[in-house]
Amino acid sequence: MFNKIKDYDERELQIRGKVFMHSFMLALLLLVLTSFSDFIFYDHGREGFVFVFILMSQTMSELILTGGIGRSKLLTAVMIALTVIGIFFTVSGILQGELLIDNKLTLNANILIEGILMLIIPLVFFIKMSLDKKRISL
Amino acid sequence: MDKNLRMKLARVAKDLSQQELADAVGVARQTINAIERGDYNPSIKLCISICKILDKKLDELFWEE
Repeated sequence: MFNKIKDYDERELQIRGKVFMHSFMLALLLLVLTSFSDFIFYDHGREGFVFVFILMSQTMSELILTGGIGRSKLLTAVMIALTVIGIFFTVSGILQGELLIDNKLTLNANILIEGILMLIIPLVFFIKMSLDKKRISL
Repeated sequence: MDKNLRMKLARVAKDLSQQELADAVGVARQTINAIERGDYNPSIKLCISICKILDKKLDELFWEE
């Protein structure tokens, strides 16, 4: 996953090309959405993180689902760490106070969304892992 | 796509694991696995490399009747 000098084979390149093209399209869409951030977010200064987390969550989930990332112990450790951090973000977002003011998302809501987006990645990873195991054992 | 059992049989007959075949043709083990499962359609270049390693002709492994 973090090996930058790895040579990807044709299947991996094909998968990654597709995934990163989707990410690029989503990034463009999110860029357009930033012009509406005044209508979406009550607290400013942190909304960029939400967009980054949306992008990260989409890219990683799609890579995992399509087999663009080889499974390794390091990746499993990263997923466990993401689960812990994601749960911490989600719980603190819920506990800290109001999520909406004037129908706009507060800082707490941003933290909650970031936590949920972070949790999606390990969730997809572990579901895919168990489905693959089931398929091999059949 | 159907499973490529002929390729799997040829690999097993050569006593090669998926990893060994993958190393020999320069791809990831997951790619060999995907070809055998019928989840991935390999390029002609990769098909030829696999055939050379397994001592088979292209149509013996990849031609569907």
